[in-house]
Amino acid sequence: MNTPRSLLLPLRAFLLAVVLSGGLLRADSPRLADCSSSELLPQTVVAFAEASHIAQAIETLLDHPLRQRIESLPAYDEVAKSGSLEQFQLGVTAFEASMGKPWQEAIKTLTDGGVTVAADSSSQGIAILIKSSDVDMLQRLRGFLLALRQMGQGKLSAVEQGDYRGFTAYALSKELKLAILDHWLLITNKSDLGKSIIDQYLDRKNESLHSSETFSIARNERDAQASDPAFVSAYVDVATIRSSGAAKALSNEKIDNPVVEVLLGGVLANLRNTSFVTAALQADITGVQLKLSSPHKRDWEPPREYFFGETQHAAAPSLLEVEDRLFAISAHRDLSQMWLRSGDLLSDKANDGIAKADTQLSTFFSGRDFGEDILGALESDVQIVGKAQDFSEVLPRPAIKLPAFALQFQMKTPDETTSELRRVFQSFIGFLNVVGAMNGQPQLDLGMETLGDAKLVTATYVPSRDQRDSMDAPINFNFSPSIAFAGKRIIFSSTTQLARELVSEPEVSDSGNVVSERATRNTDILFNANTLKQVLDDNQSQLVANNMLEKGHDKQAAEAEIGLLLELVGMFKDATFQLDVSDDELLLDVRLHVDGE
Amino acid sequence: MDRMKPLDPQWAWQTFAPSNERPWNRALAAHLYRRAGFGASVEMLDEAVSREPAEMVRQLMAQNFEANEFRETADQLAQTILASGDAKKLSAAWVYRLLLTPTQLLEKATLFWHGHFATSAEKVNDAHMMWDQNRLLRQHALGSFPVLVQSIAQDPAMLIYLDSAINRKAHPNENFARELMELFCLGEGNYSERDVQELARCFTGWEVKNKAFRKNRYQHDTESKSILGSSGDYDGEDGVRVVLKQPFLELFLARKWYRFFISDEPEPSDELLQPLANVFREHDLQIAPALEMLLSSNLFFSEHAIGRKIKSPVELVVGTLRGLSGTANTQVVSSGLLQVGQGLFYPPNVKGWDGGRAWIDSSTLLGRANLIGKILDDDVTRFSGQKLTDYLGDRGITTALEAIEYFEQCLFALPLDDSTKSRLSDTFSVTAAEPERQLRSLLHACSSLPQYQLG
Repeated sequence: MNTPRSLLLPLRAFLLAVVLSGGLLRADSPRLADCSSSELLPQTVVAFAEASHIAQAIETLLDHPLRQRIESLPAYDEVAKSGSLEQFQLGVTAFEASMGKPWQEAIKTLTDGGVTVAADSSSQGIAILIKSSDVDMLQRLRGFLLALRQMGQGKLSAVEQGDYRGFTAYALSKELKLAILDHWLLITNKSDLGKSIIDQYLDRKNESLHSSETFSIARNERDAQASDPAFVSAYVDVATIRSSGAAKALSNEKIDNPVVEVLLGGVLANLRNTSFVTAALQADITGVQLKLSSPHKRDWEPPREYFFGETQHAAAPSLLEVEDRLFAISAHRDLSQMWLRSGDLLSDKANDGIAKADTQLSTFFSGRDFGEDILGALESDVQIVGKAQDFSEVLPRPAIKLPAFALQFQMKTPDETTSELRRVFQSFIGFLNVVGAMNGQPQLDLGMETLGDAKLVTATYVPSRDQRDSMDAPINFNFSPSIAFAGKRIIFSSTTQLARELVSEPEVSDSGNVVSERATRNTDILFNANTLKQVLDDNQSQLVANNMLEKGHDKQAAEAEIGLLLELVGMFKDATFQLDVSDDELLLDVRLHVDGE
Repeated sequence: MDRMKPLDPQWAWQTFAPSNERPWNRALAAHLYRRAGFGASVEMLDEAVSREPAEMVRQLMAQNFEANEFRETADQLAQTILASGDAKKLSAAWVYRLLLTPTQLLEKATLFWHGHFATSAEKVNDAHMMWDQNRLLRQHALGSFPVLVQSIAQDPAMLIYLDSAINRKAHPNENFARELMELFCLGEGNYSERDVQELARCFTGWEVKNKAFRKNRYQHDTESKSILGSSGDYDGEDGVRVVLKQPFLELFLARKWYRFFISDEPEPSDELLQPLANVFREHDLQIAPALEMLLSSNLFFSEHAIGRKIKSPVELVVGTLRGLSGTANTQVVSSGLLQVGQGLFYPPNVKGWDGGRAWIDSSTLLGRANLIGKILDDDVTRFSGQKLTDYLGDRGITTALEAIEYFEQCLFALPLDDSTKSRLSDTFSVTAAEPERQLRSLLHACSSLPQYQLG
């Protein structure tokens, strides 16, 4: 790395500080044999994260094709030229000078035994443990960190230090202390925690995290599951956190937000009962994957059977496939049960809202009970899909181009439900027309279509004479609300086009391998970044205009900022979120895939 | 209102010629920009000082239409808001124009006409109509007053606002006819109730259908009308023409321009205003020649004008930003303006904003300071795309006192006294931690001074 001339002076001062610090701080002699970080930490640790293979992760990052794409962005050039990176470069140069080797090599050696971060409930402290095969490098790192502290203070003063059982602790700041225990470098903000780690290191008498029963179970489960070694693995003692009252949200049986309840009610129920959660983070050239796992029992599910399945765990249906898919969500949720049991699930405030909505919706549905009769007419398979709309051949063309979206359910008794919901949909469109007319909005024209065995009821906005060829029509023209009936399927769609596309797809019956793969899948979410970029591209001029209004930018600056946003979105492929529930485990798998090409 | 001491009208409207006693300098150039626009950076002031004042006024007058590129950009912003259908946010697009337009006088005149032909989105409740009216005002802001009045008489937003959209021959609605004479053209006392009734008959059948103006001949009163001494089978256009011919019109407009561009008070005499009124009439009621005379005059560059107006909220906020080449979140600015009494597209009533001392009371004074504070607290607010520290640093300003003196030149109408400067510079230390925060707080403190409220 080139060292700019302007960096040399502070660098020289820094190196002098390193030499002085190093001179003061020679390490103690090695004492004990190899051990793991969990053996050094007390049993009262409630959160533990261990990063290994750091060198490999750095290599992956540095060699990643995205790095080249990021560095080729005009915005990157601007940041580099602006001098914002100067301080960072100074830090890297000083680090390399202190370590005596390039930073990648130094980090590789320094962390070859792993890095651990732990939070302790007893001392309310945090500890960082870095294990290296090269004690000299650890001492150099200590010198670097202490010199950095002195640079921050602006003077070369003696470092505050104290001894404990033959080890010297140095003050990195008012709170942070640092000590080297042979191959370990320990940094902590609580002296009691530091002392307990040193005691354990020397005596091996006290019970450690390693000997904790819960931690052992968690570690064994993690090892059993891991197909590849994780870059970061973590453990959280949820039971202790819960009993300490630190996470109040976990102790509330009822929550305020119905949407959060539908999406995550089951996960929160699990966290109210489980003893621990483990996490594993993996990264490779295709992206990152985070797996969160927790023990699970059926006894913990009531009153949330709507989320998991009444008699046995129920599986989510497949994700809906459409062209230019933006997102898809599939889940098992008995919405009728959720609505009817909302008193057990939601707070009083949320329940008041549900009660009001229930009255209004029951009136709207001709006196039929919304929870029991309307939602109850649908199976528990919820499928939602969104897609980018193509307006290239469409007039009037809305100025703001929104994605289309649709909900698909299975009807329990199609013969009864079809006519009922068709009538309600027609009333709903009539209602929209009356309200719209009062507010000067365009009117919807009802239509009927038959597509194979499917029947569609459509509603299309009628443009006024001067709007027919408009290229910047109002936002309404993104919508042509439709309802479709195909066999057992009922589809509520924001556009007729999407409803047609969905009814044209054959009805999927999960079977064979597909079933076994998805047997435990409770929730499945996919988000496609390529389509998101397409949607943003379609609305680029609107985004630029909004940027100008919100930031006061001129057009050029706004275009550059939005251009950068689009470039960044274009670097991702998709994101997935999968929740699997079995009789003894709840597993959340989140993946983010990048576009490496 | 007090009458001013008699001034010599001939001296008052003569073109200002700089002299040793009254040199053409940054202070006068800043005054010109504040009144004929919203404000200018020190660099723009220096550029102005390098020219003659009359030349500067001619240059401002020549910018009576927007360059295509800027107009397209600014209109695109408005379209973005219109596409989302949110009328409340429409004023943000106008704020963007006010902050960045290269044609400041055109925008200032548009703001004047918005207050003159006051129409509120609160009642019209249609963002497209309000935006169309705004474009109409801008199109004719420095053009022909008769064309402007004829256009506004057929403007859908105005028709809805003054209930002309339900003007039937059986029940003529007098609102628009009354305001056309009282507020738009002649002033109180220059017409009779009978004239209002007769003029209202001219506009019968003028209505809004599908958001557009149209004449409903079945609802138009075709009988003869007698207005202001003239009779005939007048329709609306004829009625407007009769009003425009009245001799009180030019003096009425001259008085409004005087209050808007020269001084809130004292009230000028008819004798003083007559030469300006004459020029307006002699040029067939073209607006530009009258304004050019006003902005070039001895009176405009005299102590009778400088610092003799209380800044409106728009002048206060936009002036502060333009004086330092500032940009900000226009939605924050526009909603803030509404809160302190000058919401764009939301004048309080058909008389528009009263202006003058009405801008200031204990509540709005605090609101004005809070609004500037809110804008300066926002990290989005930038000065020539930079932090304030960097903007002033590039101009060699490193101390609080230097910053105060810089603000004094581009933002204040009247010089600050030494004790105020000293008090401010003692309170704010630019070299302390967070110099950006300190500088912004200093600017906020300056903009909260009583002197700063004068424009």
